[in-house]
Amino acid sequence: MDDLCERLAKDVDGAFPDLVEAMRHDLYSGLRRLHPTEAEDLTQEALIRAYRALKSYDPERIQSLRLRGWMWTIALNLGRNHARDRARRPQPVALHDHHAVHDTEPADVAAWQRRLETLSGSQRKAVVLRHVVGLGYPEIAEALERPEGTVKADVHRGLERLRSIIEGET
Amino acid sequence: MTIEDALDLLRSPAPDTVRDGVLLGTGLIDGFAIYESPVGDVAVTFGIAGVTDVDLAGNDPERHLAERLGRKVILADPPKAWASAIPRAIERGTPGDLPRTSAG
Repeated sequence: MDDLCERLAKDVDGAFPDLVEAMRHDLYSGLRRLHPTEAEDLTQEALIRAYRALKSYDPERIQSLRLRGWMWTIALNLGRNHARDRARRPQPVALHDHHAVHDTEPADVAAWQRRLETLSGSQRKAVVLRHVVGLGYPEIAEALERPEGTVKADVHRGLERLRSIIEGET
Repeated sequence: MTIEDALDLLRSPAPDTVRDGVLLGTGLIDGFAIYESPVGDVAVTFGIAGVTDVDLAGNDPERHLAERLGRKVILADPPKAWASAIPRAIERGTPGDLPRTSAG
């Protein structure tokens, strides 16, 4: 990841497959917790949009990117727009439980997904980016376009909430 | 196990279809699909802008096409916007309204 910006600045087409390999698991892991049924599509679309953006940037701009935070800004914006678009259009009646994707996951993973869904949107994003994806606080602050202190507070409160949920389950 | 450890275990690998979809969607690789024709099965290779190549499918079209075209190709569905034009073009024996790139 260290020299990827430099290589992208020199040759977007040549280095882009390496960006896909470097980011696809992170993006998918996080988006699966934030948008469970659309994670695969959103991951693909985020990477395709990143490619189009990189093709339009000059080399200096590419070299100055902080790739992980920048990629997550694209992915989270896509997820937000997707949710908004979805809310505006009619939806077919689901013949199955709309959380069916959870049924395909191990029970403990599905249980964690349900717990995460009890958090506020900002707490859930901050907790997922910090502890599922493994981003540092500066990267999360960039991705969420919020101050680092606010992000730290969201992670702290989110973990506290999860702790109290687990204590209530036992 | 701590909550942080449990959350870390929620990481899941992205399916390979994500990588392939991105590379197809950016035009960095081409896709191909097999169609029946009067001369046998043909492999139609395409990118995001249109058909790039048509050739007899043979026994191992993925390897054959990659060698012939000099780039990676993968089995894929053509874009829905013009997918139905491919069998029509094969049946007619001329491209008609099928979008083609300069290589196609």
